[in-house]
Amino acid sequence: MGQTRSIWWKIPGILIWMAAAGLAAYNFTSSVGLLAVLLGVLAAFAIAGQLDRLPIRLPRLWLISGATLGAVILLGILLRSSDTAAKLLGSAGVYTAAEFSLWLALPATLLTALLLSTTRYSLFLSIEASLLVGIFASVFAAHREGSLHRPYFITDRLLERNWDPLPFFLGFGAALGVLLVIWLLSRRSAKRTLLDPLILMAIIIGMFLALPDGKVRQLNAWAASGSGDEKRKAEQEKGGGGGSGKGGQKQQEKEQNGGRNQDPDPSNGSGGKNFPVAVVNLHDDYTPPYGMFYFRQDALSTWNGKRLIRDASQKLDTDVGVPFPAEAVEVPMRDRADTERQPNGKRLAHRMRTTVALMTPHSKPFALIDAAKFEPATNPDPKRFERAYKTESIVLDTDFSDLLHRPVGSEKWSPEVWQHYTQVPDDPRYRKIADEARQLLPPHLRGMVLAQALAIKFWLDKNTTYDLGVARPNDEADPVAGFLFGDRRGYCVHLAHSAAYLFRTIGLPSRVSVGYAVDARQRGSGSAVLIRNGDAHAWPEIYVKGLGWVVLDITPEKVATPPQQDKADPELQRMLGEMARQTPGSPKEENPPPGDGDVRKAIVETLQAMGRMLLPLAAMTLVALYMMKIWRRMEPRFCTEARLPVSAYRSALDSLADLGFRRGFGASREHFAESIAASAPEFDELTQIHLRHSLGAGNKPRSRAVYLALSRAVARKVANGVPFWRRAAGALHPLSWWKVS
Amino acid sequence: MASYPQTPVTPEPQSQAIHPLAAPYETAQILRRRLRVAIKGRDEVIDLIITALFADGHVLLEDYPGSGKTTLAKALGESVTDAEGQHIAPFRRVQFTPDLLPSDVSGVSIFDVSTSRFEFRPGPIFAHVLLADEINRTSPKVQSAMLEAMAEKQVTVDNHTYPLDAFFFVVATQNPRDLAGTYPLPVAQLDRFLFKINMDYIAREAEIDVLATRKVRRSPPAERLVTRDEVVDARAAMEEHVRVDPRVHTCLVDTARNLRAHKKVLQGLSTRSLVLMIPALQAVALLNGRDFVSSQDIEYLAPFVFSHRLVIAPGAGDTRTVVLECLKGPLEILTRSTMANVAPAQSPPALPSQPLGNGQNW
Repeated sequence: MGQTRSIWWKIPGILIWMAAAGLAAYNFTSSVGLLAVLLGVLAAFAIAGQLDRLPIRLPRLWLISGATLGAVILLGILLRSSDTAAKLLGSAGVYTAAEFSLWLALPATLLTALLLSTTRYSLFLSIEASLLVGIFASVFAAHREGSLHRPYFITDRLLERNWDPLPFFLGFGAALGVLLVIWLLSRRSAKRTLLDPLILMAIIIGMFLALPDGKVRQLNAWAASGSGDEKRKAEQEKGGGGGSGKGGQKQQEKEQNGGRNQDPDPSNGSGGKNFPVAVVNLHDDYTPPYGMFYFRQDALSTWNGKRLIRDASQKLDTDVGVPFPAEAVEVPMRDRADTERQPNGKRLAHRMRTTVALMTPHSKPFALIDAAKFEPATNPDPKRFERAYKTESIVLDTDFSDLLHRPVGSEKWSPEVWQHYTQVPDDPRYRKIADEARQLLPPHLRGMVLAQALAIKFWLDKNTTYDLGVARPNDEADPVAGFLFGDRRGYCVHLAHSAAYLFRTIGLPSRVSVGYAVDARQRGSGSAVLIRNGDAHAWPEIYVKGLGWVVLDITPEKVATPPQQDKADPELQRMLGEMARQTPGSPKEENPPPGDGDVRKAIVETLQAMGRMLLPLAAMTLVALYMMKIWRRMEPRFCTEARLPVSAYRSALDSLADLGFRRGFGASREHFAESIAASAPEFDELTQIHLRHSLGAGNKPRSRAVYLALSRAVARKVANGVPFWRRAAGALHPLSWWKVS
Repeated sequence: MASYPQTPVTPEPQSQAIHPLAAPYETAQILRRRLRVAIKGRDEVIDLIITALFADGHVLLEDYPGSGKTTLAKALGESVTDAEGQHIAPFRRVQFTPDLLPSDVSGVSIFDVSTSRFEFRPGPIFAHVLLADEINRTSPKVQSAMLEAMAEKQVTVDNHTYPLDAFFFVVATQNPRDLAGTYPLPVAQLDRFLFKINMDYIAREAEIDVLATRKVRRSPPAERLVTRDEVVDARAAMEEHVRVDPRVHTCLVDTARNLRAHKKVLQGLSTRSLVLMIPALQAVALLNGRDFVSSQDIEYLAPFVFSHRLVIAPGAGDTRTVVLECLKGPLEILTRSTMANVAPAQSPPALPSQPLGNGQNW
């Protein structure tokens, strides 16, 4: 506040600080304390305005403010423990008085010291700015991650009145921004112009850490309240879309929004980079007979007149309805018997355990098909993995060709369920294609429904082209028909839907599952399977009696776009698998709360790395500073004769600086010597010798001992009048010699 | 006024090899002692006047009537004697009034009936020390005559130029109040004065002392007189032997440039003022028993030498503050430069084994 400015310029600062202090104190004190805090802020500005030009040293200023605060705290303790005070004021009165004085003193002392410091050193301005931003950020940090209902103490009030909190927060943020800018302007002076970018940076970083990072998460509170089931679903779907690599949900959303069936790969936010989303450790050696590891996360079976969507009733497709497990959960719908054997003695399926470690947030767990059980697992490395869980899957040991004779569907199903899984658009062209496919079969197989399904698969394999680049128009009444009876160029979603429709046409229960599909060859000889976002997939499934949902995926012979160009790095796969296997140091961190965003994690990690680098650097700097200090002090002992007048004088100056005596800027050496000469006349002599050496015609030769004696006498005599702690502090100060000359 | 460390007055050293500055230093000390006996409580003004005398400059005292300026000038004049017994008066005082004519100061040619020739009768200006009292009360015509005498050390009457003595030293005064009917000296003329000294009332103790020593001070002091030649020689010796480091020149020029660039300063320092500053610095160093100019000398003298040469914007405050403000940076550079590891610019001369003045530092 160097220039005299109108009092009005102080108002933004006062308002901001009142808001900040009030918010900071809100959770810790009663309304009395809150009032005291606001008054304390006013008092701080008033005191700081009065003491603006007080020539008091900064350390002393902080010492005084700290001492005052300590005294008030002590007074509060005494007040609370004193009987007479209780008698006089009553216990409530005592409490109020103590509370009031404490919360008045806190801002009045500390803020005063801070405000006064900012007028001297611009560094404190950035400290003040970061403090302000920190306070606001910490209060509204709860609002992050899409937790719109937080912080409770604000939103509760708004929600009670049925108001939307969002405009409030936006308005609050905007007002805060405007106030901050005015506040910065009000503090501006020529000297601080350089520092402004720094302050601005601090503010921006603070805001960034406080703002939602784009990952809108599941709102547990909405679910708990039971209100707005639709909203919750919408949020969940959004959650899937915002996260990376959940193809099914994403394309489903896309379908709902625009009808353009889209594989997640080309459209995900990472610009096509194929990043790992999870690693699955297989507990046994297993290679699927159909050559792909399918990880099912969700299933689409309800035909809504246009396409297949997730079953809204939650009664069907219960095998994908399991949330992240807090304890061991058996998957409800399971029809696959792991003990059943084929006529030739080979087993049909067996149980296998896997451990899944997720690297990106997922809204639902996925498992190797068919999931039988989900169990929680300890996150081996919370910094790297979002969460981990164990699954038990009943995996097929047999090829589809061995199943052809089997019936389809389940005897437990009601006609409604049958209807649900076989509902298709009323379009004769599907029947036509199904018939065409059936004609491919040898006559003895044409009666078998699964053989017909296989024929449809082969027909689709032959007659479609895999092409990621297609765009289907948004307004098609039946997007699948547009694909199947059009150019037949499309990708997994189109293919899966076409297959499912055709299967349903021949009365075969069918659905589309979404999740990840990884080439079995990628596993190599290791036990880890790395899943990347490019592995997101949708595939058709059919229901085989006794086996449940079985994959019958379409693999077009004609490929316009290779589905996955870059191979997963086996080293990375192995390494991540190893990491996922490790047990963490602290078992407490099982199922950590949904982690913070990647960006923030990255910032924290960067800061930690910087800290690790800075610490040795700081230590080295400190050592160098001490060495410099010692060198300057010892130099007169071994410097050349010609340099003695300089080095002995400098040595004495350093000792004086240690004791807190420094020459002021622009003051002459004689002037400084005069102030010291009272306690150490030798300094005057040393000064004269030095000046004569430098500005005059030189000195008569003196022995080194004379110089050393003079220098030492100065240090000793001046030190006599200095308290011990000051001497010790000076001796330990690594920078006391800085700018001494 | 800035306090200046008073160098203890020490007895004459028993010199074996004479330092070239020993005699000038002694001369200065004698003058100082004599003047301090005559005038109490004006030690700083005395030092400044001796400095100006040695630097061959003139001083302008701005003070109130009865503050001892006549006593001071008279004591200075009476401390000087002519070795060869010349007819130059040691001290003259001219009260400047509006009706004063240049000839009243410089002298006039008078027709001598006996020789039938015009003969020049020197005016009061032909003295060693001239007190020009209330110089701003006289007309510019007289002022400019005075100023010629001060700058050129010569007087021109009837188109004939008469030289003044080399010693010639002017102490001019003006009253800071009571300005009605005056002809204030323009800055160009103020530039001729080395110092403008604003005198304040003296300290309480000193004033009591003035009253107490009223009688004693009337009797001539015990100190011996200083000859005119001693002072003139001292000027030469000082110029020769008091070392002025090139960094001092840099400091002065930088200060002047700072002042010229200062937004409150309407007219900055002339180069002449910097040139005049050098002998003044040397004189002050000598007076303090040093044979080199130090940053302290600059810090001390700059306000006296520079303040009255500046024209600062109305309402900008004190010129002294502005000067000190502009001096700080260059002075800090000069002070810090002594730490630089450079050998003395010139090899030390043959120094006397015995110390001079207050001692150890010679």
